[in-house]
Amino acid sequence: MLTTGDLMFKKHVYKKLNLKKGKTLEDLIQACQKSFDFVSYQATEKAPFHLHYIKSLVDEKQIDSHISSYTKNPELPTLIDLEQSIPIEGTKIIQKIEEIEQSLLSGHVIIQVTKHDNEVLAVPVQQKEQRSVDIPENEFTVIGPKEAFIESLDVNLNLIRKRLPVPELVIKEFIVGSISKSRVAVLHMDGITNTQLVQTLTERINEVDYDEIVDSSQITQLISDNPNSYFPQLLETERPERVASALVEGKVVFTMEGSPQAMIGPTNLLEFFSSPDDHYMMWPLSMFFRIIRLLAVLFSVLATSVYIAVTTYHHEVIPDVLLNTMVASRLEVPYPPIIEVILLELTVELLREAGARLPSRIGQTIGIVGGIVIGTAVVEASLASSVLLILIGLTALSSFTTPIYQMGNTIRILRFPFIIFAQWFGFFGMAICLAIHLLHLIKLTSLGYPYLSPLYPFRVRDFRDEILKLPIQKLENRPEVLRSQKKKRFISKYRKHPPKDIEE
Amino acid sequence: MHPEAKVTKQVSPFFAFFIVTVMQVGVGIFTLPRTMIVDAGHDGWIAIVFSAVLVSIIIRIIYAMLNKGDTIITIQNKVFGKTLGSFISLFWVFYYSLFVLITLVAYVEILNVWIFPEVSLWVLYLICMLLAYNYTTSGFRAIIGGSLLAVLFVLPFLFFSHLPQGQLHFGSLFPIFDHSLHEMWLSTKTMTFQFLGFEILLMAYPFIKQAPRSHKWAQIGLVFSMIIYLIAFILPVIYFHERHLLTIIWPTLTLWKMEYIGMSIWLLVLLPNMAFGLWSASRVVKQTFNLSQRHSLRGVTLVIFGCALLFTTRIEIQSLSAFTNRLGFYTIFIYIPILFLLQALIIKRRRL
Repeated sequence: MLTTGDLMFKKHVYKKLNLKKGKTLEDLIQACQKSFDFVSYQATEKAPFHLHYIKSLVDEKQIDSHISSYTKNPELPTLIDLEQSIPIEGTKIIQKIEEIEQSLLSGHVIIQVTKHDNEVLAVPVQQKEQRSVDIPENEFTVIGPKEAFIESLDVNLNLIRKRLPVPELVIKEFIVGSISKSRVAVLHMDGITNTQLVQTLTERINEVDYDEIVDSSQITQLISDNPNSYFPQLLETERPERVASALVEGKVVFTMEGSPQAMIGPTNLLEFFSSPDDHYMMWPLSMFFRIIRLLAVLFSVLATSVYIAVTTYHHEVIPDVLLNTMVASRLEVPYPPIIEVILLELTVELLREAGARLPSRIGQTIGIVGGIVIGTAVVEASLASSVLLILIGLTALSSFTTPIYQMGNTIRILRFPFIIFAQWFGFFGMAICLAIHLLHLIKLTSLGYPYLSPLYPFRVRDFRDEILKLPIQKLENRPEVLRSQKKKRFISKYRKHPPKDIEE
Repeated sequence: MHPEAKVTKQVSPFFAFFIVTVMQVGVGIFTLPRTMIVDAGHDGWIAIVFSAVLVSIIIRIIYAMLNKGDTIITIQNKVFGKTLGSFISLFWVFYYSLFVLITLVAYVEILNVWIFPEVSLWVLYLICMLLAYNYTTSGFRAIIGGSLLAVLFVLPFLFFSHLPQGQLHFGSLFPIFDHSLHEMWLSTKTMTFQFLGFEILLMAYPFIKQAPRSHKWAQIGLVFSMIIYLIAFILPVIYFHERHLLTIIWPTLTLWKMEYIGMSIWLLVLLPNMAFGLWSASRVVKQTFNLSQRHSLRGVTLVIFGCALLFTTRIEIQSLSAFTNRLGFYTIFIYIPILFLLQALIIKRRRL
């Protein structure tokens, strides 16, 4: 039973809706005519058709060659005739004003019979401005494929699809952003990916409520599990083959129209230190390089804070042989180690930031000026010790070994809390800082999956590809932690060797 | 009475290993060689093995008991009735808190003596308690994660010891068994203190998936910590002279090559250790008095912090650890077996 109040309220709502629905094609055309690039004309005086389109969105060559000749033809009086004769795929006759608006604004030509008719024919003649597929810049590898995503969703999907030509690769499309109306595609492998995982991602993307979204990293910020963390919780990549192998592993991927990267989830901390290179090299080499990379990260984060801790609190730790060098280099430095370190660290950050903003040629010059000229000058003016300068140089160098750019940034930031804690309580302070970060990492999840796996939860079998890198014949299982529908990737067959003479 | 721990909050049976290891290899390892040598001399390692055997039996008893009940609280309530059971539960709050307290005080003392003689103790207490509190509020699984990382990455630091070639006298270990049985028994009693901590299982049991299967892992954890203790005991004994060793308060640190880094990073072992204690103490309060665990945790943390401020001198700390030692010994070897027998009796009578 509805009370009168409810009825009144409903009436009010209906009125409002009707007002919104009351918008007609004429209103739309009027609204569009405020812009100079809106074109609206009658085909000829004899033919009945009116054409409307937005010049900047359509390919006018196609209109000239494929549409005009038919609209000017008086033998085709109705829209249906026209639809059948125009040699362009994807034409449709529509009536709903919202649909008309959407097709007009996405590069269709709207063809009307008379000026007051509500039924129109929409012909897609979008103009696609895009750069060609290029070499990956942020995730460059020496060997392996050298294609990178570009700003067009369709091209990106093509790059992925052609690597996985199976019907199981499912792509769903979403529209995100109330003003920007960005197209987002969510990819997964049917029959492999855990269905719950797909559901989590689609739900989160559906929940995104933001007006203007220009890059997929904005969506990442909106959907990540802990928005206050400075550890990236989804892996950003610009390499289609990395996406393809993630999909086959049982992960989900999303990518957006207009942004040249795809996001892979769930991810874990160690995945950020594995490069696609690792899979293209012989396994002993790639295992070695991966371990080098992990050590480089540890060094990059801890080296300067260890320097502070040792020079401020724990002089006993310095070996006797090294003591002379250390004392000699710090002898004339007028301030405590902490100021020395922060000064130099900030200089390096400055150089990096300047290098990133400048065009690449000038960027190189800045690198040389900063690295060599300023560095030597600072030591000669004894404003910093040469030992520290070496350390800072090495930490900067080793932070560049991280294959994923986002994680490189995280490591840049991560140094500073350790430096501050080291000044406060020496090694004990660093242990405090480590404890805080470890607790944070233990609690952190990526799309609901633990961020610290395979360390915690402890999955020894997942070590094969995540920490170590065993021969490709041994990587027969998908990561356990993903709980994918198919656990096995393939059945490994061991080749039989002909028996040696000693066994005969 | 209490809802079972949810599956999402549980851990696999394998993690019982980390619970036991982290709880046992606490701060005691630094003083271990000296305390062991007082009574049994160079035969201390026999006492270590013997005490491990005794503890292994107790772990067996605990598992037999818990397999029939859920936690120590439910068992006590069944055996003693609700009122008396709740009253005895208070003892467990005290017991768990005491272990957190002794760990905290002993660790901060080391820091104070070795690295920061000028820092006021309360600052260090505050830092440790805040961190432990944070670990505890993150939940049981997070504490387990912390202990796993500690065992994997921090315990290996122990092996960076001085091993001066040619200065190790393996002869110091012989003749084997030249101390009286009484001395051995005294040493075994001292040693049990080092193995204490596995009582966390009495509260953590419902949080382990297929808990009966975790018994094996608890025993393996015990063996693992026994091996660590044996190494930590034998190395100083063959390096120092027995009488010299008696004068060193923290022989493990003296022998350690990475003493400064090592004792700092040991914080990562002690945090899960203290967090387990805090977690169990507050859990007892929650189960007995239906208070929210967060509130009781705050209370327990504050009380422990306050008590820690009272212990400043070496003698006070020593008497505290002696008291804890005795209390732990009697609880484990007298109270637990008695409770086990009573529980068995009651179950039998109900069947008849």
